[in-house]
Amino acid sequence: MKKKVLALTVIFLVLLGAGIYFLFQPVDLTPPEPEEEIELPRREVENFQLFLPPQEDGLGLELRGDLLVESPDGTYMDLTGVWGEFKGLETDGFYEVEADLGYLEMDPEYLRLEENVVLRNPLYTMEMGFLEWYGGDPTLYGGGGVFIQGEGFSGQGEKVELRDEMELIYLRGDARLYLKREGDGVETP
Amino acid sequence: MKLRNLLWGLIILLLAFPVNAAEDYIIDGDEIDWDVINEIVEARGNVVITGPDLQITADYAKFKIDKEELFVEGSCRLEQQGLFVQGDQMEINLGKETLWVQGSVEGSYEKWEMQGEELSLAGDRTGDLTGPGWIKREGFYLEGNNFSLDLAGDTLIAEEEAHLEYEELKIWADRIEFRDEEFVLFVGNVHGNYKRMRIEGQKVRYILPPGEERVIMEKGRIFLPAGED
Repeated sequence: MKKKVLALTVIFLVLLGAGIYFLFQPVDLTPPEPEEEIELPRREVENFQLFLPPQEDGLGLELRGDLLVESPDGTYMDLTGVWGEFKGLETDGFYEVEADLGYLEMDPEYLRLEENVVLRNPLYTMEMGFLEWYGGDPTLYGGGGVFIQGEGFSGQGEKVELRDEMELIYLRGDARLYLKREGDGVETP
Repeated sequence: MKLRNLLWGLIILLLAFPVNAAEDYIIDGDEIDWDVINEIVEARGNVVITGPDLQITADYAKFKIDKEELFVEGSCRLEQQGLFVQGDQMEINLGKETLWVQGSVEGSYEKWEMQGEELSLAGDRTGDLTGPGWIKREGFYLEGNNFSLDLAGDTLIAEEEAHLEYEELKIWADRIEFRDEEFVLFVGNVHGNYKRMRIEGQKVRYILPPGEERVIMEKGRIFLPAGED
């Protein structure tokens, strides 16, 4: 009987000691290390060429450039040394564009050109800080300071919207337009 | 050394102020819509149009470039070669140099000041002013409902409830014709005063040149104050 009591006491003390030991162990509150991001390879294409066909009531785009870097999931592309043309359904090669940098999403289509953006058509040349185009939209949006120069006129503004295949120019923010006067009338484009 | 500095100064001035700058139109605004093909410019918000000897400010402007027709609206002000006009709406043909202004019209041309409801002027500064209005200059005040103007030729005709205060004349008539340094002609229901005399009649002429001033009663009577000849 005594042996039993002794054995139970020993077991009790061992369990008590173990409980006290674990109770006073320091708790590690540091967050778990984040899992390391695995950088997926980005596809690079030199001297790339892209063609987005024109949609009804919208513009299409044919774009070339020095370098295209596609995101790992294929949702966007970074472009470098870009030049090309916006195209309408029945117009071709009238709206040239160039820029140092570009960003293109494919679904839905969205293009943003930056750095030394120049747009040319037979009526005028337009320089701007950036140019945006939403696929299927007939309107182009420019900003970051816009300067336009054509035969007999020039203009400027903070932003611009170009509609109707760039025949309607909406300058916004401290807009200014110079119209050259020739003889008895105003010289027109 | 001084000559070289002078030459550089002249070159810098010529570069800073291009010779043809004053001949161009400059359109400023918060927003400008430009239809390149149809040659129409619309500007909104703090609009300022600057042209050859011309400045126009307004809230809104529409410019038909090929026809040189300009329509402006909202707190319009025009300044052109001695002419200043303000009103609610204006139509200006910049090629033909015609001007039409409507709504609370105020203006001035050289020595003349005017006010009315509607003003139309040609490039030679002839035109019409309608609505109850007046034209004045120092020592001269002409009131009426309709005016024919030749501001450059200093000839004014006021009709309908016309009234003139000039020198010692204070006359009402259906029609008052004023030719500066020549005569004033009062026609129809003429009544008023010249000096201390009462004038009534249908046609009265007042000769203006200094030294020749006189009243000619073509159809009318003069009433002298009692005790005077």
